[in-house]
Amino acid sequence: MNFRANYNDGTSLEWSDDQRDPTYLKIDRKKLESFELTYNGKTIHKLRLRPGENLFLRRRVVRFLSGGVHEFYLVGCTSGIANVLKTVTFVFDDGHTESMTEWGAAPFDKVNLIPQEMSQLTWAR
Amino acid sequence: MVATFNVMLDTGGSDNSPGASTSIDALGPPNLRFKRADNATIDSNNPCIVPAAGTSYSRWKSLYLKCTGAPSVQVDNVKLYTDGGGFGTGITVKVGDQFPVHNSGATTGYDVADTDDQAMAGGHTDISTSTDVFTYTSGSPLSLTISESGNIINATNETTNYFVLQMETTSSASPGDLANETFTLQYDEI
Repeated sequence: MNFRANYNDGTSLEWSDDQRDPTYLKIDRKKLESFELTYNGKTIHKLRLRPGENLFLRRRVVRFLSGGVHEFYLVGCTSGIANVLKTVTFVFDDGHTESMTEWGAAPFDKVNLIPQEMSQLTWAR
Repeated sequence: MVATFNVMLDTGGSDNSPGASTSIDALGPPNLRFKRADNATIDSNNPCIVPAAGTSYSRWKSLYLKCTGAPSVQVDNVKLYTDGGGFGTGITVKVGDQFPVHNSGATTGYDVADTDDQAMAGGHTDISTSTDVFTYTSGSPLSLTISESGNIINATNETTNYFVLQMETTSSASPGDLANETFTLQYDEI
């Protein structure tokens, strides 16, 4: 999977999930306009952010002790106010997606936000 | 970077100092067998017994998740759950409600499983209570803990704390081999 952070000045930041470099932490969230998950050059999912909304992204790994691993991505945003999780989309490895506006039970339960995802944002226009 | 992990089982040795740490990933399935011996071997030796009365206990299993390839940022939100099924009448698998310390620099929560028919709740130095692991399902998982810096895993060889499992049998259990059950570990990665 590849990721692209699109900024409101027309520039973007791209990386893939096999990079060791923690590019995710380098996203300039103050000018982040949209965020895309891409695979083989095609957009799988695009999240458009409104001013003040803050992105989060996770790979959720479900690992069976008997062998086998199932992975999917969680991409969504917080409201930027009191760090309220606002929406999340689950992007599964078979290509289908599921969206939720409220968090449910595992494997769809909440993520632990990191400081970058909890900061209050004011878009730089 | 996609992180890689092994599920590890510590056996033998002495309290606070396990004699062996075995990745159970390549052992099976089944990858774990409850028995009346403290080792990682998947065999038919030292089987659990069906007691005439009361409860019989397997040796407990001290398990943890170990990072073998570091993530770009971090791993956290580690959960354990089952399908909610269970092994059948008279057979229970308990998980300790406390998570003895295991991290990249310490095994101080290790309590060697050196006694047959010893309940982990009270028998294990760091575990006072336990819960039927099959009550933990994908809809209601058990949150595991991490005693690394920041309570996250962000480097190779970092681990979760121990989660300890033990099989209990009563007289109502039927003898013979049991069908495999699947336990699931889940975590979030950045």
